[in-house]
Amino acid sequence: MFIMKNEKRGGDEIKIEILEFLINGPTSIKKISDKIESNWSTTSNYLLELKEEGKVSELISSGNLKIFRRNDDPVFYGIPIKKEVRARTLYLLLKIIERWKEIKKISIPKTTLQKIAVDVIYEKKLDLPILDFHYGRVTALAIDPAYNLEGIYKTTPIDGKIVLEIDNQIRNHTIFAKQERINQYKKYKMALYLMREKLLEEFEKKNNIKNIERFLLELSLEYPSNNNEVFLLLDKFTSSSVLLLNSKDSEKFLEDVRDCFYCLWDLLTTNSYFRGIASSVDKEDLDLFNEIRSFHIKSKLAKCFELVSDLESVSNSVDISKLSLEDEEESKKAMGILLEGVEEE
Amino acid sequence: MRWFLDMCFIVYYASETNNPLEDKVRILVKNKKENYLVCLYILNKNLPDWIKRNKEIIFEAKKIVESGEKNPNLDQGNSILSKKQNVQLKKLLNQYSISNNKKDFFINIKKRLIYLEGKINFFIEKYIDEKVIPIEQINKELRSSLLTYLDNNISDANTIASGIQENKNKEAILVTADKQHWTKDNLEWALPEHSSLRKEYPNLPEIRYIQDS
Repeated sequence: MFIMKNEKRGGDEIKIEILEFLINGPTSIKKISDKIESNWSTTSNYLLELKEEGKVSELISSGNLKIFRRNDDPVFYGIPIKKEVRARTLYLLLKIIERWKEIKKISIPKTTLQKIAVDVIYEKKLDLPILDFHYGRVTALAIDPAYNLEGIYKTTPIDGKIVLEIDNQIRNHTIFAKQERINQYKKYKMALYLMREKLLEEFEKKNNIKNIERFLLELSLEYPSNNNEVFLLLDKFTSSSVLLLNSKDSEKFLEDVRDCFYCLWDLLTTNSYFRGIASSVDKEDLDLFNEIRSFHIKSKLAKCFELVSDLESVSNSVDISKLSLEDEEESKKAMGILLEGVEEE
Repeated sequence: MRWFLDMCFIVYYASETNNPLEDKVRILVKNKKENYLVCLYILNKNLPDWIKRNKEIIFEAKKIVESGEKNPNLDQGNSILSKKQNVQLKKLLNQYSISNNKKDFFINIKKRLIYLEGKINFFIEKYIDEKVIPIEQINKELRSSLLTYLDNNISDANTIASGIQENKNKEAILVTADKQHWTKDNLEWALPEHSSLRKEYPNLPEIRYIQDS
C-alpha cells in the first residue's frame, strides 16, 4: 500500500506537498517523511531536488539532525515563531510595501521597510516583537519587497487605523539606508549603535587613532562587564585594542582591531536577536529554536574567540612599561577611590 | 629568599594614584633580589574578580549619571554591587560632580583601569617566579580557622592559608600592606600551640609590611 501510494503521486506532487508542509515553518526530515508517508532516503532525495531548484535549504545539518526550511520563509534564521506573530507581522510589512508604492510610486528599500514597521509597532503599541539586530531595531521577519509573498503565507489583519499610522510614518522616512539607521538610533536613544556608526567612520578614515580609541572606550562603557561570555569577549577585545592603539606601531594593528570588532558586533547582535525572539516561540518548538540558536551562536563565538585571543596575545607582547597615561589628576583621584582598601581584598 | 605576595603588592606596582605605597613597591621591585611567589587563588580568582568589580562600579556610576537622577538612593544599596562597592560608587559620583571634565570622566577612568590590568599582567609575566598552591589544594580546615580571626574575609583567609601551606613546602615570607589582618597574632590564634593544625604547620611564616620596607 505504501509503495502504491507513492507510485500514484508523481515526484512533482510530492515536492509540492513538502513545500506546503514547510509553510508552517522549518522542520526535520523525519517529520517531513512522516507527513508524506515516505522513507527517509526518498524524502532526502526530494529535498535535495528542491534544494537544487533553489526552493529549500538546510537550516541545520548535524549528524542525523537535518532541519529544512523554504527559501522564501520570511523569518530571520528560519526561527519557528508563533504563527499568529508571523501572520500579523507579515500583514504589517506587506501593507507598508503597498502604501509606500501607492504614495511614493517607487519600491521601498528593505531598511526603510523595517524602520517604518518598528515605528508603527511602537506608536500603535502593537503586540509584535521588535528586536535589536545588526543594523538596529527590526521586526521578526526579513522580507524582500521585490519578492511577492502575498498568498503564500497567511496574514492576519491588524485593526486600529493601522493604515493611517503607516501613511503618517511613510512621510517621515527616506530611501537612504544610513540616514534611516541613524534616525532610528537617535529616536530610540540607541547609544551602542550610534557609537558603532562613529567607530566605523573612523575605521574608514584610518587617520585618527585617538578617536578610534575613544569610541572603543565609549562603546565598552555602554555594556556591563557581566558573566555573559559574549560581553567578556568584548571586554577583552576593548582592553587589548586600547593597549595596541597606544603602542608604537598602532597603525599596523588597526586592521586587526577593525576585523575583530566586526566579528564581535555580528556575535553581539545575533545573540541579542535570539534572546529577544525567544518569547515569540511556542513551547513545543523550543527544542528546534535552541538548536538553531546554538548552531548560529556557537560558530560565531568560536570565530570571535580565536580573533580576540590573537589580539590579546599581540597586546601581551606590547611593552607596557613604555606606555604612559596623561598625567591627569582627576582620573588619578577617581582611580584612587577604586583602589581604596585593596590591601583588604 | 622567597616573598609570598599579597594581591595589594601587585596592584600597587601597577597603579599610579599618588599613593606612597606605589613608589615603595616599585623601588622594591627595581631592587629585586628575592623570588616572588603568588598563589593561584590571587591569580585565578581574587585579582580577576577585583578588576571585574571595579568595571561594574564604573558602569553603574555612568548609568546613574546618564539617568539624570540627582539624588540616587544609594543607601539602600545597588543590588548588583556589594556594600563596599556602593560606598566607592558614591565617592565616584561625588568626584564626577566636581569634575572639570565630565565629558571624559568615565573614559579616562576606564582607560586607567585597562592600563592597570595591562601592568598587572606585565608584572606577573616579568617578575613572578613561582605560582603556588592550586585553589583546590587550599586546606579547608586551615582556611576556616583563619576566617574566624580575619573578620570573615574569605580572600585573606584563602591567601594566607596558601602562604602558610607554601611556607611548609619551603620557607617564604608573606609580604603585604594589610597591618590590620595579616598579623603574627592572628596567625597564632588561628593555629594555636598544641592544635592539630599547628602540628601540621609548626613553623608560621614571617610577615613583612610594605610600609616598613
